[in-house]
Amino acid sequence: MDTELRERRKAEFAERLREAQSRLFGYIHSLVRDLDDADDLFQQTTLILWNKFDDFDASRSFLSWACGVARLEVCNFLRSRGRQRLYFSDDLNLLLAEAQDETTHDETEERRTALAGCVEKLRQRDRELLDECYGREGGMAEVAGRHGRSSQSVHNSLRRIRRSLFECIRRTLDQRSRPRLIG
Amino acid sequence: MNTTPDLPDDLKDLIDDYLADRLDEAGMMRLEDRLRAGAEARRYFVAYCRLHTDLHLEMRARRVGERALRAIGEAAPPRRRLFASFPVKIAAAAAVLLAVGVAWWLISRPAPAEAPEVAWLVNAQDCRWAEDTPPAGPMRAGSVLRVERGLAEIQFRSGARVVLEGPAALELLSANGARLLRGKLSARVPEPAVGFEVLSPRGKVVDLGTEFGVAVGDDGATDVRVFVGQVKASAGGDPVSLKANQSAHLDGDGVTLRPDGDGGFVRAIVPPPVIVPRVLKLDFRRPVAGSLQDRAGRGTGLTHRLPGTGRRLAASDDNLLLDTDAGQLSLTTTNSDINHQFHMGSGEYLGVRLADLGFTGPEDFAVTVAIPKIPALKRVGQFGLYAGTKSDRNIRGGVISKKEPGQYTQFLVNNNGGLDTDVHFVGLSSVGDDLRLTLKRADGKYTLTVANETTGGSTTLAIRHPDFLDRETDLYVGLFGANTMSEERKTLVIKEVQVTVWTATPAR
Repeated sequence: MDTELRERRKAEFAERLREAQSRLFGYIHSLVRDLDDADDLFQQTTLILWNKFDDFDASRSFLSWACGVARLEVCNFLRSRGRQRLYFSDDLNLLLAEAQDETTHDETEERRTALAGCVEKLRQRDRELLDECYGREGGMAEVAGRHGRSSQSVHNSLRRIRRSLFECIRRTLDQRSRPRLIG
Repeated sequence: MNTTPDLPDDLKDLIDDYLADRLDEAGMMRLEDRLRAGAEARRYFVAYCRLHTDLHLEMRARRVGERALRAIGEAAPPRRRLFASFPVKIAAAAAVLLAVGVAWWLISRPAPAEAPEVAWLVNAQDCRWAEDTPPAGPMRAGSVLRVERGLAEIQFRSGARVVLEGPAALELLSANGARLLRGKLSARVPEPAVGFEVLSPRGKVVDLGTEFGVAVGDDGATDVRVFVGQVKASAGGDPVSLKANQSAHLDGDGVTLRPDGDGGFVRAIVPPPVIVPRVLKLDFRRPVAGSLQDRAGRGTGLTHRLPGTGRRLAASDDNLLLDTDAGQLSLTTTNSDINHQFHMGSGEYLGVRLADLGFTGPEDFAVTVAIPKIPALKRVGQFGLYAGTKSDRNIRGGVISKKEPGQYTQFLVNNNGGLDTDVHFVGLSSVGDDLRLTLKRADGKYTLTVANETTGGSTTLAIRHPDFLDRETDLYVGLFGANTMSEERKTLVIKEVQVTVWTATPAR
């Protein structure tokens, strides 16, 4: 009986986490900007979420609850990390969690799908640069060094590519949602 | 729903700079102010960061996907430019061979009988050879040395010396060259042997007077690291020069310079050190002079408190009671918490200084304590073991009291700067259980084991490695007890404490 209840709770938790996880991960990544750090913090956060799942008020948004827990973890992490990097202050992190909560799971998924299509449409050279900067370990300085470019110039190229992808995703989503938005 | 707002360019630039970690403090403040001021800006920020995250995931997925396709020899029609290049063909061929499982055949081709002798074995350590290549006598060109594990050192006729690190396969080609089919080697090339060549499935490394390492992965991709001097590395295209401390990756895309890292090559066979454990065992059967004193002034055998703790406790500590007849030490908890450094002055964190057992920094160690019939602490009350340099620089673990009365869960947590990080919880113990706790550093990694001698279960927990302790040469270990966030104190019975440091002395 007890184990049955526990299993049911677990399934419920898994369901909610599945729905929120890509946005939760995105939230953490946007604050720490390092994929490995984000991985660790995401893992840590989900564990805490499960441990505290009994305290979760089902009438509230799971994502906003999760982002709240993540925020504290990020905060602890930053304090332990010292100041190697500059990070946002906590009050802004809270506002960003709210903005995160305004997005939906479906939209997030659609964005990812749209991105795959948009990357295909890029010029070969741009796709290769993305691959080097995003697909491998190692920083932009290294990519710049390999190509004998300044890191400012690589940064500028990346910015241009990202913005065109952003535009492309926006167009894709607009087209897809227009028929549904009549009225 | 998808109407992502458009923003002024300068704000977009700030966000791009933020993602690339290119903002200074003033820039960060400008961006923070703008994001605070507008919900539109925040929505854009969230969507744009989403793109940044997705790009990471997407590009990595593509890379892994392409590699997987290549490995099964069915790469979607490769771009012509690449297809024309020599290493890809080799790679494709190798991949096909791998796929049908006959790569071993390539490796174990018999050597022609009349082949010249080109090298001989000079040293081996913990070395296990594949069955059909007994390393007896001189070795001929064409023969393949296969080391399943351990190290083998081979001297070439030219004078070049190679340390092969198992699992590895090396094909001898000439008195001054070999092909590394798989695994790792490091080479030392004296003057007369300059020009020594190491081929790999993906390219070639030619020595120009040097010491270097080569590693070949299962997919044939090759890494080169130069320790001293210079080499030329090529993977189909023009050779690239590598100097001391440079590394490169050779694959279907050519030669790519890599960031620093020693690649973990074994450069010489060194006799293994003799590991001598040094043990301190306290059974509390007699007072020990010159150690921390109990309330009656008797020495407990524990010699040091964790620096930063216990400052306000009396020299003859009221919270300690040595019972030599029963062979136990009673420790009454106080209200303290390492997390947020609460009441460290009256905190009970006591043990030994590892340097007293010969610890100088790199040695592994362990501390064990037996605590029978654990008492009921209020929620978040905790006891267990620690290792660290001071109250806000340590790793600690043990059991912590849960919301449910009488229940404990095992935990392990890092603390670097006063706040707990990387905490993990596992398992369950109940009031009255007999526990044996061990905090151990083995191969440099920390684990906490709680053996519940009442239920017969045992759980070992590891967390993110506390790298802030790695270079410390003066560590303290010991036990602690705290009725954290409560004034209800309890008494722990400590039956046995054992501290071990595995000191190494070089073999003669």
